[in-house]
Amino acid sequence: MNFEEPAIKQRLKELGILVPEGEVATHPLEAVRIARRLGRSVVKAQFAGIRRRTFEGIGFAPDAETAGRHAARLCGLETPHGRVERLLVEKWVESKRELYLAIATCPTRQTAMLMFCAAGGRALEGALREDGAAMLRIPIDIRMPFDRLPVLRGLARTKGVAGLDLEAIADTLHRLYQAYFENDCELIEIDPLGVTAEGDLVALNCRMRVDPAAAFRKPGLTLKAVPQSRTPLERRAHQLGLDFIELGGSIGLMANGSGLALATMDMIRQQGGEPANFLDIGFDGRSDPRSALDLVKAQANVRSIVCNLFGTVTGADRMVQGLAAAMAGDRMRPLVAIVQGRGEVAAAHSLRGQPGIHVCDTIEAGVERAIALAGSEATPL
Amino acid sequence: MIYERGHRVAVYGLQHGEAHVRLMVERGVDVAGAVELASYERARLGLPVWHSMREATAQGPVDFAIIYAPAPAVRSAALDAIEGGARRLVIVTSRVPQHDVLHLLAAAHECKVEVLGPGSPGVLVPGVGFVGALPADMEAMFKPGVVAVVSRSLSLGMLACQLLSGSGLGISVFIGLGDNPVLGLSLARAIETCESHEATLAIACLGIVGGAQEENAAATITRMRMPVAVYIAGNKVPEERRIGHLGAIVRDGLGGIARKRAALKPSGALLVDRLGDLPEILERALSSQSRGPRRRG
Repeated sequence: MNFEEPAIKQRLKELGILVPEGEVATHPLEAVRIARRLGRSVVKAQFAGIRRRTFEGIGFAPDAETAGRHAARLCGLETPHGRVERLLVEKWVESKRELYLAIATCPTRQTAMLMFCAAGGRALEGALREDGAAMLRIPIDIRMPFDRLPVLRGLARTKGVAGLDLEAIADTLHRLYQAYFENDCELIEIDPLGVTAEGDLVALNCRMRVDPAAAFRKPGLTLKAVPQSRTPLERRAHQLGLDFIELGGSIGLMANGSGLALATMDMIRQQGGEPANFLDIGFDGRSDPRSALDLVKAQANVRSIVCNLFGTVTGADRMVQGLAAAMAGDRMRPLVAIVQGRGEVAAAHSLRGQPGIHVCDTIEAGVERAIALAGSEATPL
Repeated sequence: MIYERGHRVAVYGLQHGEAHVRLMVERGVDVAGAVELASYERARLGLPVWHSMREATAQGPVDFAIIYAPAPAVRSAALDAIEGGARRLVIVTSRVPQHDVLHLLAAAHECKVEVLGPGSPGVLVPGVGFVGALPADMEAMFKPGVVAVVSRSLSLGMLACQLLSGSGLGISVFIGLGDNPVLGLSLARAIETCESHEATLAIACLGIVGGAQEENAAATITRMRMPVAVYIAGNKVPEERRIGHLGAIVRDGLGGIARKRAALKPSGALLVDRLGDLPEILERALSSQSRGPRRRG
């Protein structure tokens, strides 16, 4: 689950980390009103969860008029991360140094990892390229209360910390860890943390990612998460509890098991086709194949469909029940069923001879057939 | 982490895994009993009920503890198993919160307990038995043989088992690593375990997009004397989209197939482009190895 900056900064503020004063605007006029109140301001496009590179989607405004111009440029802008819907207008905090702070779950070391670099923001990548050891990493035992001593020792050893108030940084890291722990985070990051002329530490930009598997014990937090951007069809699939992603090719795809669906997708590409979608109906194949098939057929670009079913716990013969009925009345877009594993004989028997359905027993043959069918039989709809 | 005949097994959350446990009993696995931490659940399948792992281990060693309990209950069950003296732990439950996994893995590490999962389908040794949630009754899919199959994805793993059993190479052991972004047994460690398994002559790894398990296994594969074939599914998936599998996500430019393959290339791993070619690639590697020693090692 990803969050927009205002929601994260609210959490940081509650834990005693300084954040710039700011408000959300969805319209340039609103941005002007906020900027008038704040004085010198920064206008930031909101992309939840994306690592911001340099000043992408950010405008610095010495006055409200400039803030309005930036807002007008950014509002509704199409970017690789999606359309800009909301802007954060914040007080412009002048920082004399910028630092990088994060707490992240490290699957490789199987621990929570505290990270600090004396170069943050734009300078981070350069500093790490120059010297990988510029990033301090300290594993944290999630069962224990936060221990400042190893953190202070680590900070003191880190490159480029001369002139920094290490006690204050350790304190901010402690609070950041609290946010990580209390919110079931996978990652919480302040990049950059600005050091002002007065020596204050201010979180200028931040990211937070919360473990979706922990959503059941964080209902309030879940409500604030930015929903995954989905096409209307993907939303329908999500409501049905199916993993479905539209991809734009001409070969529709459904399979039971995500690994199987991914492998089928790769096979389509290897044989010169383009998959129209990714669709996993679940390894046990318990979901109704008809509603899954409806999703695939609802894509206008689909010209043939590969249905890859591998019977294990649930037999393939049970998974194909209803497929023939769902295909009836649609002879424009043939379906190639690949049935293997438990119940393969009965499944193939029940599908063979049905209008619009072809049966194959290997992925290679099935995909090849579907690509050929997409090229020949089908006519554009 | 490999099951052996005579291993004693204790089960958490029996009511959620009853069908699997029944199959285990049918296949001759010594399921000693069920641990129920917070319920007065009556015995199912005629098994004795304990209230903690300590009670269970007081009556004899527990080689495998298996958890089928729902995700919110997994941490307590795992800690009970670890502190109660179980030797190995298999977590079948999927969608366990990552912080809970970090917590229980830290405890497991201290007590030197190996953990498989969460989200793992378990371990199967053809002709011997299995622990977990696998269709072990499909004998055509699990023919005893020489290839150890280690898989991040259950469906791919089953497909690989079917291909290898069909080809005549057969399976020496199947290990399903699980779908959690944070896993106990890593791919690297699983490969090492398989290498020291007597019946194994070659290893097949089934990877998928996301995470860094495959990259982290490269150093281990470099040291291997037996052939290791690796297939990784999920080319060109869009970034920031979790695809079915919980750990299958590409983000911040990490977790993509190209990166994984580039990391594995210098390790001497046999990279498999099409899953259907897996048996042939391993057969060729095994026959060339038997003709003469490999240059490496």
